[in-house]
Formats: sequence, C-alpha cells, structure tokens
Amino acid sequence: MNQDDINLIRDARRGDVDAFNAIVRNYENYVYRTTLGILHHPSDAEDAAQETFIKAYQSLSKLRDERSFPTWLARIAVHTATDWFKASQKRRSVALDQNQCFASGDAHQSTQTRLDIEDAIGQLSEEHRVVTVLRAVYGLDYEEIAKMLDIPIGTVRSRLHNARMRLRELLQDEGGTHQ
Amino acid sequence: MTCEIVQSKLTAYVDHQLPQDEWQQIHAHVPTCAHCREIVIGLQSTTVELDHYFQAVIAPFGFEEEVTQSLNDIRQARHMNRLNAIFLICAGGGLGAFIAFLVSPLGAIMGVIFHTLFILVQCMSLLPLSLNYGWFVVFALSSVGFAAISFWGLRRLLRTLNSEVIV
Repeated sequence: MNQDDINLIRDARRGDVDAFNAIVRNYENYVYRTTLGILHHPSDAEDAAQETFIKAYQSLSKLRDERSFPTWLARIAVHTATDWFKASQKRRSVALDQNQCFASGDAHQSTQTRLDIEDAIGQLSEEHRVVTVLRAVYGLDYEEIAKMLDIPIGTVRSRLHNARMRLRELLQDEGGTHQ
Repeated sequence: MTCEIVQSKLTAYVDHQLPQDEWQQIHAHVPTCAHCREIVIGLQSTTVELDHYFQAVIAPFGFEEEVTQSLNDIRQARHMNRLNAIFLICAGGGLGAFIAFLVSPLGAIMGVIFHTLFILVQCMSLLPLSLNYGWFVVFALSSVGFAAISFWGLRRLLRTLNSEVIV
C-alpha cells in the first residue's frame, strides 16, 4: 500500500468525496474479484461489490489504522459476498457470463482455460472459495486469513490444501476432456 | 516425514507458508519422491493459473460511476435526515419555550393583556350593531374630525418650530 492511498484514506475520513471516489477507482478490481470469486455470478458480484464500498464508506471512521485498509476492505467484501451467496442460493442458480468481466486481450490465459478455472472454482464449496480468493486476489498470509475469518491457522491450511487439490483434479480432468 | 504427512502440507509448501524447518524438510523430500513431485508441479501450475485468472478479472464498465451515484444518494438522504432532525429540534425547542413563557409570570401578564385586547376588539365589533348601522355616519364624522385636528395640530407645530415646510 503506497503513501498516496494512505493520504486518500485520511482525506476520505475527513469527508473528502473525491478522495473516496479515488479509493473506489483504485480498489474496484480487487473487490470485484473477491465478490465474483465467491458468488460466481457477475450481476450479484457487481451488486455485492457496490454494497462493499457503501459499507466501507459508512464505517470508514471506525478504521483505526489506514495501513490495514486493504485487509479491512477485503473482510467487508468477503462478509458481504458470503451473505449474498447465502441469500442467492435460495433464489437461483445461473451460469457465469464470461465475456462481461475479463480484461480484453489477456495474454496469460486462453478463453478455454479461463472457463475451466471458472467452472472448477464454481464447484468448490463456499468455505473453500473464500480462502482461495483471499489467497489468490490479496496474496494474504495464512495467518492473516485465519485472523480475518476468525478460524485456526490449521483450518486455513487444510481448507486451502483441499481447495487447491480439488482444483488441480478438476483442471486436469478438464484438460483431459478438451485434448 | 511420511509421504502422507508431506502431501497434506504441499499447498502450504508451494505458498511458502510453512515454518522454515518444516519447509526445508519437505524441500528435501520432494526431489526424492516422484508422487510428491508430481503433486507439487500440479499445485504450482494450478496456483499460477488461479493468479492469472483473478488478475484478468476487472470490474464492469461504469462500476465506479454507479458506486459514486449510490454514495451521492446516501449523502443526500443523510443531509435530508439531518435537516429534518434540526427542524424537529427547533420546533420542539420553540414549542417548549412558548409553553415555558406561557406558564411564567410574564406569560400570565401577557395573557391578561391579550385577553383584555380580545375583549376590546370584540366590543368594538359589536358597536355597529348597537348603533343600528348609524355607525357609518359616526365613523365618517369621527374620521373627518380626527383628520382636521391632525392637520391643525401639524400646522401649529411647524409654525412653532419656524419650519420652511409648507403644508
């Protein structure tokens, strides 16, 4: 986290609207990745991401240390997305619209690989998705994830291991299917 | 360390999230075990693919504007609530002050004065009836009389003051 972001957060806490808009601009992709990773539904993910920023804006005064802003925001995003997930589970189950939420011309992955990963993530349980997203999107240490989710570090380790092993199996299967 | 124990820690090993001594033990084991090595390669590749997948996800077009709009709506609603609260506080305070004034001795005196004025106005409104509408004549004559007296008084006053104003 750079000094500019810290200054923006300080200004936003003092009520500077433009500063908070700049924060939204800087963190929108992180938050959207989190909500999409957990919800697996673009429209719900967008709404949940929006709600995350609104919650962050409303409780910004409670943030003690500006340096912890990314993890604080991630925590809000995770809780918001898991609440949405529980609510949306009752409502519907719609497939992900892939063309909507990816950077165009991504050199790293082919569309098929992306679809495979997407499908594989969609097959994980909610608990496994949450830890996977926190690790992959924010690069959080296991200890930070444990603190954020209020679970023992051993649980984080086992959840991440099971999730990653399951993804590996699914991706290998998908790879085999497409060949 | 047995393969079973090692395999349960391979994700943490790939993520470099193990204590140094444990990491070293697994690091020493992996090259010697084909099965564990295969899992590590698979996990590394999955990790890289996951990272790339999430890096490629971007917020939808216009997301920032939508958030800004929602926040503006919230600010506006807050502002309206604040104004409503100020209005209610002022209205409550004013009402309280008025009641306090009425129950105070000064309020009682004012009450008597208002009551007297009210009775006077009431009596004056009843006067035309008692005069049987001849009060029009009385009112007109009185007005003329008052106007004449005023004019005369004003002239005298100006003369006394040697004023150059000509009436």
